[in-house]
Amino acid sequence: MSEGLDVIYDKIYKYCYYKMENKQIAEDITQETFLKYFAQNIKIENGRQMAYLYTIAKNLCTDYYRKGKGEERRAEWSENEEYLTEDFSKNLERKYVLRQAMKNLEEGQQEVLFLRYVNEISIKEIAAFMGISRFAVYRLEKAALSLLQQILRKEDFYD
Amino acid sequence: MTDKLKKEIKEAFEIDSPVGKKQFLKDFRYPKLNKTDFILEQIFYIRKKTWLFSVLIMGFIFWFLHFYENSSTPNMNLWIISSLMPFLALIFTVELSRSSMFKMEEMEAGCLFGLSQIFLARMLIMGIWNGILLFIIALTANLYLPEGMIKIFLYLLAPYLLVNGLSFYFINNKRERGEIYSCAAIAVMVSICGMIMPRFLKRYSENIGTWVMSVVWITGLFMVLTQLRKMHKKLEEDRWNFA
Repeated sequence: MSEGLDVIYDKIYKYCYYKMENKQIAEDITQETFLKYFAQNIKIENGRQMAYLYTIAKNLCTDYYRKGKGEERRAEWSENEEYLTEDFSKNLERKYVLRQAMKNLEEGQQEVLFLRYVNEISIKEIAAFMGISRFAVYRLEKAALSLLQQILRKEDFYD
Repeated sequence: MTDKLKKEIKEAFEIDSPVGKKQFLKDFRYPKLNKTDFILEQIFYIRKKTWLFSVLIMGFIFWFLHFYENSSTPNMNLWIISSLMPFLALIFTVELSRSSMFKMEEMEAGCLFGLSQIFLARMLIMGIWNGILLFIIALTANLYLPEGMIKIFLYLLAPYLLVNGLSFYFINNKRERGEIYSCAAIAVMVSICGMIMPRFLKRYSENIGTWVMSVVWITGLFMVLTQLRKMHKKLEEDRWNFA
C-alpha cells in the first residue's frame, strides 16, 4: 500500500461512517476490516489492496444491516445528530442538504461520488472495487454529478 | 460550479478523527515490511565476518589452484579443495544458529516476523551466497583441474552437504548450548577425512573416490532436507506456542 496505514484507516472509517452513520459502529467495522484484511493478506494481488479493503468494509456494513442492527443504529444516529437542525448555521445546513441529496442517488452513484471526492480514490481503484471498467466508472461519475446538481437545484442549494 | 460542488461533497462528509485509531494502530500487529524488503533487510544483520571468512576461503582456493602443482595422487587437488568446503558449511551453520548461541531465541520468536521467518530469510540469503561462491569456485577449478565440471561439483558439494546435514542434526537434537562446538568438530573431522581419503583410496580403483563422494552427496542431501524440514516444523510449533 502506497499510503500510510494512518491515512487508510481514516478513509475506511469515513467510508464506514458514510454507510452506517454512527461513529462507534463505523470505528468497530473499520477495525474489523483491518483485522480481516491482514489475516488474508497473502492472497491479495499487488495493487488491489485498497479495493480489497473497501470490499471487506462494504461487506461488513451489509452484514451489520442483515443482522437487523442497522436500523436501530440509524434511529440512534438521527436522535444524536439533531444538532444539525437545531444549529442552523448556513454551513451546516448546506452539508446536511448535500448529504440528504446524495441519498436520492442510486447506491453505485453515491459510492462513486463518495470514493472519488471524499476519499479521493483513483478511478482505477474504484473500478477494481466495483468490478467495472474505468470507462464505466467515469460515466457513472458524470451521471451522478449531473443528477446531484439537478436535485440540489430543486432544493435551492445554489441560491 | 462542478468544482465547487466536488469540494462541498468532500466537506459534507468530513468527520472528526476516530477516537480509537491511535490505540488500535499502536496495538495492531501487522507486517510493516513486505517479504522482499524483509529478506533484503536481513542481509544487513548477517555479520561482516561471515561474508569475510567465506570470501577468504574462496581466496585461499584460488591461491591454491594457481600455485599448487598437481600431485601424483589422482584427484588430489580436487580432494584438497573439497576438504575446505566443510568450513564454508560451518560458517553457514554458525550464522543460522546465532539466535541460540546468544540465547535470543525466545525474544526473536516473540517478534512479528518470528524466528522461523528470520531463520528462513537468513537461510535463503546464505544459501544464495554460498551457491554463488560454490559456482565461482567450481568454474575456477574447472580452468585448472582436468576432472570436469560434474566431478568438481560432486566433490565440492558432497562434504558441504554432509557437514550441513550433520550440523542441523545436532542443532535439532541439542540438549544444551554447545551445538556450535559440535558443528565445528564435525567440520574439522569431515575436512581431515577429505585429506586422508585419497591416500587411503589410492590402493583401490581410481573411480572409487567418485563413488564415495556420490554416496556422501546423496546422504548429505537427504540429511539436509530431512533436518531442515524438522527444524522448520519445530520453529513453527514454537511460533504458535508464543502466539
